Amino acid sequence: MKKIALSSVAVLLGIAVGALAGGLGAFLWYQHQFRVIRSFAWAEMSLGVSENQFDADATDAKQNLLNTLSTFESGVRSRALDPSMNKAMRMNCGLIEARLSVLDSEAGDADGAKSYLAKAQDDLRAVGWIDYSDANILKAVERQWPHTGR
Amino acid sequence: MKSLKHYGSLLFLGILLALPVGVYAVQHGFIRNEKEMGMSGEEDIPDDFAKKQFLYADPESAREALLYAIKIHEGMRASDPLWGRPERVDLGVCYVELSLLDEESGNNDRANADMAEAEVVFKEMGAPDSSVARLRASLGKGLVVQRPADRQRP
Repeated sequence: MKKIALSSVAVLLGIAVGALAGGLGAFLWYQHQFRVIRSFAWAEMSLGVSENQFDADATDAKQNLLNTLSTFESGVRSRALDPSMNKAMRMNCGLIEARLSVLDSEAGDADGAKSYLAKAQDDLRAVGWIDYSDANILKAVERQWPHTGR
Repeated sequence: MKSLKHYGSLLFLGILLALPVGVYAVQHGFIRNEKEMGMSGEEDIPDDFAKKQFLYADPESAREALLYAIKIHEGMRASDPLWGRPERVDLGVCYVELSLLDEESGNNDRANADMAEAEVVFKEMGAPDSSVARLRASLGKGLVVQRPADRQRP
């Protein structure tokens, strides 16, 4: 009886270890082989969430925009990407900085707003925008629905 | 010693049986979904970039972004099993925008070739013949409204 129980335990333990090892192995292989694809998945998700939070004027919009900005800044520097993709990342950095400028301005931080807008202008000028005036950039990141306040 | 060997072989048998199950579970429960999301991001980011460049950037930068977006769309068309109608529309719009830029720069032959590509893309999804011309007209209006008229830097 004891032998049967111990044998079952050994098989079940083996199944648990095997399933974990298989899963972990597959994940590590995928992480190594598809590093760039993974970064696109997270970049797009992060961008979608932070833009929606900005549009909805959510309380954690700024933190999410900062996290997204850091993801896209890595994309700008990445040598694994095509130079055109680096530019696409840079344009997104500019638009995220413009949104951060709007949030800072609404929070009464004029210096922060000015600094983010200057960075946005640098990025958008670098990707070839013709009109990188404050008004045009802020128009490009206007909220998609009316801002009702927190 | 003998029983240790016995339990060891049972443990090994369990591992061997469950290993492919673990691989399958992660592959289908996580990797496939994240990969699809990644491919969608890889296509959407340059597409959105191209469409914004068309509205806001100088013609050369806009053209470069549109050509890159078209390259990505065409690549995904061949490799992504989920590539469908929305992506086809995005590809068609890229060709129409490229045609407008080429026409603006005085290269009518290239503009006509881009329009022919757009027509093929829209025809493949069963859109009426007039849809490309209508799209072109509305995008052209957008160009006039949203871009500085003389395309000069401030």
